[in-house]
Amino acid sequence: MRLTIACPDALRADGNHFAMVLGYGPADAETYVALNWQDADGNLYACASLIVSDTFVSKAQSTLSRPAWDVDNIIDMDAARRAQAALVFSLTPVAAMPDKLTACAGDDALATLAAMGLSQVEVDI
Amino acid sequence: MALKIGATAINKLYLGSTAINKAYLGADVLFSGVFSPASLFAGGTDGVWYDPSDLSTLFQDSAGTTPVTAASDPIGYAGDKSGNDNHAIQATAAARPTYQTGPARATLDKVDDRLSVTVPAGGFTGTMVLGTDQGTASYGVTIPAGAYDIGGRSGLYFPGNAIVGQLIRDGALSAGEAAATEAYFVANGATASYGAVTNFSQFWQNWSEITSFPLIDTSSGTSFGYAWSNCSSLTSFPLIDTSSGTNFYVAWYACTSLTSFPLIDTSSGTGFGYAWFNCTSLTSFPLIDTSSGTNFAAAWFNCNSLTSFPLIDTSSGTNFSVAWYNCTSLTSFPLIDTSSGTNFSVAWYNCTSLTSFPLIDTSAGTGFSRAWQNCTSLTSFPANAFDNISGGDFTDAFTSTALTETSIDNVVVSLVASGIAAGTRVFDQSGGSAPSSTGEAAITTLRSRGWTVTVTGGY
Repeated sequence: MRLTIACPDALRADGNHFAMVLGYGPADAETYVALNWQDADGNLYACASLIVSDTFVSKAQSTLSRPAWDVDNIIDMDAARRAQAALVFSLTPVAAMPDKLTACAGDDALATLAAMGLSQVEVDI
Repeated sequence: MALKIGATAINKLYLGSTAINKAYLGADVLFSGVFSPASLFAGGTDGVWYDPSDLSTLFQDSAGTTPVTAASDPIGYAGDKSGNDNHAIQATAAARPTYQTGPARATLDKVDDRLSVTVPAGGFTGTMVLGTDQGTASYGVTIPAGAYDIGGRSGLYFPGNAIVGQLIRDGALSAGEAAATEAYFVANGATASYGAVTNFSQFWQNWSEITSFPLIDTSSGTSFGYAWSNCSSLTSFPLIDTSSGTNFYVAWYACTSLTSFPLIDTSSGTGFGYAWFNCTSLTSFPLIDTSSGTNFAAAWFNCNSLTSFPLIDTSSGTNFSVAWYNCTSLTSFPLIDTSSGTNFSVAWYNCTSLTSFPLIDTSAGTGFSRAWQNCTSLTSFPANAFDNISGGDFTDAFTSTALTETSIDNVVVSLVASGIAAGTRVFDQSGGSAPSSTGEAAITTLRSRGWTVTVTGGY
């Protein structure tokens, strides 16, 4: 299943800690980087899209634990839990919200983002 | 091992009239007549070659330990087959392309997916051949040392949805070498031509490394929005077929090295907003067919090397706001058809070399704020220019100009002739000459109709 996730600006830091918990290493702190997307109200989002397993979805909604690789306590688990608390998971597209980490299933990432009410931030003109 | 006569490698080998594909010495291939892109890197030539059809080069993780084995596996590592060890990786799990089959390819979500290769010191100056699911083409490139995106530029912009093959060589390929490489990628499943693509939006956006663009088939393209935006190293552009194109919005935005532009077919184009915005090296512009164009907002913004402008057909144009902003080298402006134009705000702002202006049709115009502001050499403005306007917003329209007494008289007398006595009624002029008694009388009339008028001399 392809999951497309919209992370609002205010949740980027927390969202990247959450991504590290679900991912494989410190590089997953770069999951939500550029605020390339916006909703109709102009709220900005960093987005990611990836193919995930059912295990991933289950893990994202279960009690979080520090991954084995994080021996240096890089992950702020409180931040990860805040992001998890803000997680909205849907098998169909729902509108992205500026205080939620919205994850929607859909084969076409761009189509899913459009259905979530997001459009690309235009170049600075 | 290669078959040679002296130092010359043998390219073709025959047995009688039959071409030999391979010759062996024991188990070693002495000669192969089948083209391999690897041959382009002989003698230590630098570059990269990624081949998703070769599963032995693909790994799910960026460390290259877990092999890609099946469709839908992520690609965190693509091995370089050029022999230069310029492997491409993606450490962030969510940003990894996905392996798919039929044909074997690295699919991109165009949200964040891309691999990254560290281009070695000295960079690459040469040719890039890119085989995708939507088309295959070869480009001239200059890529500086450092991280370089394989796949979507910034994860977003890519001419297709999947990589079937990608090769970059430090050193230009010959036409034959490029063609052979393209054919190789096509044999692996890449689509040969872009001829079926209708939407080219953002395909090459921000590909600042491209120094030359190929004459690809774009005949089905309707949307070219943002297609070459910020391709800042392109010095020329080919005569591609854009006859079906309707949307050229931001198409060549900030192609700052383009010195000329071809006479492409834009006869179906309606949207030209920001199309050549900040093309600062364009010294001339062709007489393209813009007869269907409605939106020319900021189209030639800051094309500050243009010394002249052609008499294009702008008869359908409604929005000319900021269109020729800061075209500081324009010494004259043609009598274009602006009869449908409603918005002329800031249109010729800071065109500092214009000394006169033609009697364009402003009859549909409602907004003229700052239209000629800072045209510091503009001395001559025709009579009757605003006799039939539809609105009276001239806020700062002639601020910081050099209008002669006759010209400022022409303007305010024409505003009186317009009869505008409702809605926004503001007019500003500074610099140049004060109006004569004729102009002052006109200003008195305008004020009696509710206009706020500011002119040189303070009347």
